[in-house]
Amino acid sequence: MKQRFLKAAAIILWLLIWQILAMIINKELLLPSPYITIKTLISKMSESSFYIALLYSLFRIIIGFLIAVVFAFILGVISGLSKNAEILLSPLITVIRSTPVMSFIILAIIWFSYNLAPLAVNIIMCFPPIYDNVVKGITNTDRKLLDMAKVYDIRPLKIFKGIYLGSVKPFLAAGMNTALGLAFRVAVAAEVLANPKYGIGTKLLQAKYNLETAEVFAWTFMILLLSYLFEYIFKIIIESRRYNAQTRKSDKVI
Amino acid sequence: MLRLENLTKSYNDNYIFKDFSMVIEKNRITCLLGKSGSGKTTLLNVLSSITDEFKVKYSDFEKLRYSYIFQEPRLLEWYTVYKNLQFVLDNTHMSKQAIHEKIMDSLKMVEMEKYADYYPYQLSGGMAQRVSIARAFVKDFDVLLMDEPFKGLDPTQKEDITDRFLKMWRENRKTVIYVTHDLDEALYMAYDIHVLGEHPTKILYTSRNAYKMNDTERENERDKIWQILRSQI
Repeated sequence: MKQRFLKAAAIILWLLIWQILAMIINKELLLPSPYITIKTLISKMSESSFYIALLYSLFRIIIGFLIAVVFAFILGVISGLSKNAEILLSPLITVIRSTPVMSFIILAIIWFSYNLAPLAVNIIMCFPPIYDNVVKGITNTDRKLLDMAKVYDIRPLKIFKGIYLGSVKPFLAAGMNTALGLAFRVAVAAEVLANPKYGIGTKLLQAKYNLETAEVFAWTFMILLLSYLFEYIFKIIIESRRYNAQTRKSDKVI
Repeated sequence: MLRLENLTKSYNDNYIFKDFSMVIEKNRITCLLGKSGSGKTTLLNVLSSITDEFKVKYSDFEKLRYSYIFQEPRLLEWYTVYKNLQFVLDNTHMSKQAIHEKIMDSLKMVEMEKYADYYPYQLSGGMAQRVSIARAFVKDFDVLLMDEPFKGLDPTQKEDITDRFLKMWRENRKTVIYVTHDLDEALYMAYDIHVLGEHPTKILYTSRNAYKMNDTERENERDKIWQILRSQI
């Protein structure tokens, strides 16, 4: 309770500092105040183009993220189980990890349409953190549990579901969490550069051209809000799936 | 009778077993007694094929079905007690009802039926070990291997769980190979006791039918084994 209060107080403090700075600078073009930002955001919310841009961006973010999860999970499991597969994939992963996002965005624009480029980049950027974590989860699987399964003559598919999947889950969740945060930043950055017909990035670019700094702030604020919201939803899903509701009430029962 | 002949197992040039042979009576509890590092656990891993890097001339142990009670419970933390038992059951040829009854019967034998929906992290060490005993008995097996399964428990828990185990065992009297370094435990549980020692491992002494002995005989046997174990320092 006390911590919650402190957290809220911290947010209010920084909003105040922002407000004071805006008042000192006193130029909306350079730094709009929080009040102006919220006001702009609310006025934008009455336009239908706001929601269209939002939906298009969210679609790219979520679909890109999910596709990355599927690929990273499958390849991560294969690499976790086979050292050779991991060695085979490692140059590719290193290249993805060290290449600047902008290079991928430019390449994606060359290779794909403006609409598809942000989605493609998003998939590529979300892949490594999930993949790495899945590999780690598989290789960290308790040898003793696998020995137990061997003695009890458990079928391979059951071993995978019962032992590997169980030990991968927390790693997968951590990887997905990192990737989700990344997806919001990467997808919007790619939209700014690729400039698809609809998207938050396109709106940001338009606002920049029109010197509508308050609008840039409003959109940025919106992205932060959405990113936070999705991470929160994700956290709730993960926690509710961890243990069933009945036993979650109290941790150590005995 | 289950025979193992000329087992050889080494790590690099370090021979754990060299032409080691052993006979285990069926439908009895046989204890393998020896100090730490006498190759007891390795022997169980060889018998149960956890490891397959060894040579053997003849073995009756190869095509048997095993249950194994380990030193630590080795439960799946993300499964409930119930699902942990279900995990080792091959459910292809059993009805759901039959599986359910089997699991609940096993849990009842260790008095853990009330905890079927609990997760391992919610149980004490003794309770988790009881679940692992239930898991060993829920499945059909030819030989039950036990590797110091009551090591980490406090004395009262140990006594309770040992008696519970013996009670369960008497219901079907399967072959049990029980590894321990605790002489009193061996004398309390075993029909036959093989004392292991030296390097590479040999059977130094075999005590037959310990369960038939009267108190004086048992006391003498105890002293005898004690002397052998002491000479192994």
